Amino acid sequence: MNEFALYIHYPFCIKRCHYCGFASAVYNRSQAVNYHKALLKEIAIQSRQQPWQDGTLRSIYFGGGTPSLMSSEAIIELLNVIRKSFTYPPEIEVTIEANPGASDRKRFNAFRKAGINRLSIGAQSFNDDELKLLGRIHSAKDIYTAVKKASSAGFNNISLDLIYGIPGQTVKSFLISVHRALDLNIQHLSTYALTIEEKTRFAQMINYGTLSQPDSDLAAEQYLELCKIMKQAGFYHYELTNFARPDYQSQHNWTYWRRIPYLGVGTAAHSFDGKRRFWNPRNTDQYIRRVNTPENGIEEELLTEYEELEEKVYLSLRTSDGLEMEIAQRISSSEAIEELLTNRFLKSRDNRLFVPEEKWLLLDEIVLKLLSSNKKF
Amino acid sequence: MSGVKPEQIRNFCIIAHIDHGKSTLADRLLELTGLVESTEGRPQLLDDMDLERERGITIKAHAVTMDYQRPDGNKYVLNLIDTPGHVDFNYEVSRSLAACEGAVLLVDASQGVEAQTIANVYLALEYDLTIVPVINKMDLESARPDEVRLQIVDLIGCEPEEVLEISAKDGTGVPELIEAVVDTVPAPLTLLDDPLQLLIFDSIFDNYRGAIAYIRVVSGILKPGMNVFFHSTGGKYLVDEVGLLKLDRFAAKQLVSGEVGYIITGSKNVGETRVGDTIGDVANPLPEPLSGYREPKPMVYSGLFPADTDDYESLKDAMAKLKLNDASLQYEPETSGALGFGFRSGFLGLLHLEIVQERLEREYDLNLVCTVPNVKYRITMLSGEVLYIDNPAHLPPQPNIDTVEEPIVNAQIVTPPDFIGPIMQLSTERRGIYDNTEYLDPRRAVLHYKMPLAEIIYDFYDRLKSLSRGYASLDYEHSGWEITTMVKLDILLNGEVIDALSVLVHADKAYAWGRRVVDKLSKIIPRQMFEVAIQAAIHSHIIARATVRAMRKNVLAKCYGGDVTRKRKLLEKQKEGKKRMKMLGHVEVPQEAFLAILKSD
Ligand SMILES: Nc1nc2c(ncn2[C@@H]2O[C@H](COP(=O)(O)OP(=O)(O)OP(=O)(O)O)[C@@H](O)[C@H]2O)c(=O)[nH]1
Ligand code: SF4
Ligand SMILES: [Mg+2]
Repeated sequence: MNEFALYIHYPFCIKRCHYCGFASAVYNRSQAVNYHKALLKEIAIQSRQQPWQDGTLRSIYFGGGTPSLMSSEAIIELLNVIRKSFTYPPEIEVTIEANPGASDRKRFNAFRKAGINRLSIGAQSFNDDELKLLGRIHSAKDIYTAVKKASSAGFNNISLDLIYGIPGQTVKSFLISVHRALDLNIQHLSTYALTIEEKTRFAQMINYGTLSQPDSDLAAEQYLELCKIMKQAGFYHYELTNFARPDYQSQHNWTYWRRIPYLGVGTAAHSFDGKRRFWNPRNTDQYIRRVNTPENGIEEELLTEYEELEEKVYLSLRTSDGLEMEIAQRISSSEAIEELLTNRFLKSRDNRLFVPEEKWLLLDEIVLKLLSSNKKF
Repeated sequence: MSGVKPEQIRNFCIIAHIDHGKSTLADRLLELTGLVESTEGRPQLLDDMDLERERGITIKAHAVTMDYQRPDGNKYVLNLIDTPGHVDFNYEVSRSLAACEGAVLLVDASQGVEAQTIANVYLALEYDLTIVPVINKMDLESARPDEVRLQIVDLIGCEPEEVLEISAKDGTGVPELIEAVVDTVPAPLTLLDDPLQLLIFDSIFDNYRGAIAYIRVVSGILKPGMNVFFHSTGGKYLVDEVGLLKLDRFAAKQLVSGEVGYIITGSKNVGETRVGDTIGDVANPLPEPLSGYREPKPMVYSGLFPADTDDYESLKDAMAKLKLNDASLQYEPETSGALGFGFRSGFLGLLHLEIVQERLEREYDLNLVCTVPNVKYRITMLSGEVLYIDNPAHLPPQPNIDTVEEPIVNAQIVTPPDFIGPIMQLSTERRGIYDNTEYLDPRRAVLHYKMPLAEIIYDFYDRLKSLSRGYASLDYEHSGWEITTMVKLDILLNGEVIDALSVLVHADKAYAWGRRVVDKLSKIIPRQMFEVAIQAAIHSHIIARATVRAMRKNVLAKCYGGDVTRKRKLLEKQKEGKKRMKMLGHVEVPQEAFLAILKSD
């Protein structure tokens, strides 16, 4: 039985955050209407294609953008089409991302009724100054209300996102945010070190000198403290950026790290059929046009054997699964592996390699060491 | 031949200080003789190397043959050789001079006589050339022809009326200049019946035709099909093609005594057509080669290594090819613990080094690392044995050494008197010994110094230029050896001596050098997975240190909605970046570090 995940992108937000490098734009009603139609059409088309047609869904994820801006009717319609088009087990994980600044009880109730069982809330910080700097539309208080509304709507699998390494943020202020998040009895926490993406407001501010570069030492400091707190709180660090209570790891996240196929629909959505990666246009108008004229071809890449290995290395090492020793040995020199083991940038167990938690922030460096150590490539 | 008689030929070059307008004048001559319609949009047309065009300087000599008809209807052939102005390339100038009977001496009307003006005039006199004195850039508001004329009169001993005034830029006075060349530069001697002798004044390598030598026919007649030989190697070849150097090569039936042109032999053997060598006729050989050429003398030495050790063979090939284009480049294999296999190479100066490196990288698609340049030292051992050391790694153990001598140059610095103070201070800092000051006129002084060459090769010229706001100029020639106290200064990364970073420095300067290199490296070496300790040491005694803290984070944390492709591309980019790094010991050092060490801040 080939399993795959389904990702649905919703590329609209109320306002653009200062750090945002995602495919999202300010909400526009008529565009949103056309977009909804395009989504329905793309799902219908894709569901008749292989490998999706013969596969079974393992998770469904509404991401964005701000998918919680979608009307309950729209979500229900989408889920109905998904139900008709694909097969999946009844207990399937269905997640939607929500913005604390765009979360009303009515919608949460409708989402829950429609079968959505996991909520990922973009909290980012519990410090109002930080939220303002980030250009978020919500305040710390909005996060509490959003979580409360979600619980009372019946959500018992809630994840929060937090950002660290924000210029001006301190170790302490970040830890306060972490504690606040834990106080809300969440099941899952995702944490991201701020990176400055091109063409964002932040990139511009750094150019003008009104914002300083994120300090990687501060981020490292915050990360180490975070790991400690989460361990004490009983969370399992199952992937570089993700912590979960037992039984609450995100099935959808695992799809990416384990290189399980996934179908992405919507603007800029990426898909992977096990060999081939392909993706939709980053511009929503272009995307809509593409769906209506599918003969126009899509952007894709067929992975070479080496690229496949490369992916396995850096995706597996992100996770608590670790990397099969055999793959590491194929792609890098045994001296490099040995050296990384000796210096504790890697550890090995049951014929697998792992990056120790305290070294995870050096992942790219470690992977580069492995990848450049073999002269053959 | 082109049907001209030797008395209708004029062979001349343009000599001047750097940037006084030689190549611009050449443009005007090309236009006036109708070889090109206009050089507009492509000024300094003869500077055809990308590198020359980018830097706006002439690096190689360029030759071109032009047809000229005098107002009275008489026809002439003008062979012009454009020469480089930078002090590093004096040798190129000397080769060109030997192929000519005359030299147009160009002096910038606002700058006046400068160091290389003087040096080039002496060279021209040495080769017994007729000098046509010219003041250029008369269109400039700052032109001061009266003063400059007097400087020239003093320098070459001509009459003030003989000094022409032109603007190479707008062409004023250039027709008169051509007339003066035809009038005053003697026609070449007619030695048609003598045995063939060709003087190679330049050579290039052509991928299809092999070695192409630019020659002056000194005597005899050169025709395709002849058997010729190269004096220095004894190599014998059949002449494939001869011809004139118009803008492109222009094949001819023959070249005769007095003409300038090119010769293509079957020689594919890189290194056969040595610049300065004489070509003779196998059937009618003369035992002695032509004289008058100086062997190119490298002044500075540096190790050139491929950044990727796998490229050694390509580098070897490229060096051999470049050597054909550039007779002054010398090299021999070198092995470094840190950098692997490469070449210890000798250069005319730092500009030459930079140019060689850039040409190798560009024209042969290589990625190179070059080590800190040094001069050659003469070492007398207690045993009485004398060694020449051009590589810090070869310095014998201190206890066995009796004396170390370093090359000394006579330096002439031409400057307006205002800057004499700071220049003297700089020269003293650089261990210069003051000799005397001459005045060309009240506004132009020449300071004479004896100075260790080692002190000049780093950034002396740049410093001189900046503290004199561009007005001072420098020329120097080797004058001998003097005893000195040198030490070998080692750089250690995490406790390991990196041989490629070792330098020989004067004992009094070792501390400052060590401090500076350590500071520079600590800024250039990126943070890595370990802390990096950088140390400078003399005889394993640490004199300076710095650390680069360990990197704590390098990860792209976010993977946008399954966009694994982007992540891989970013990694690949980082991987490419790593390729620009050299592993020295266990430390990754950017290649630029080697060059950056040289530059003062
Ligand atoms: N105003 C003015 N500028 C000139 C004149 N002749 C040359 N120049 C400028 O002076 C600069 C140097 O000219 P080049 O012809 O490259 O000088 P060069 O002597 O060949 O320089 P090197 O080959 O590097 O020694 C250029 O910017 C020219 O445009 C002139 O008659 N008048
Ligand atoms: S809510 Fe998310 S997707 Fe929307 S602008 Fe902010 S960061 Fe970007
Ligand atoms: Mg020039």
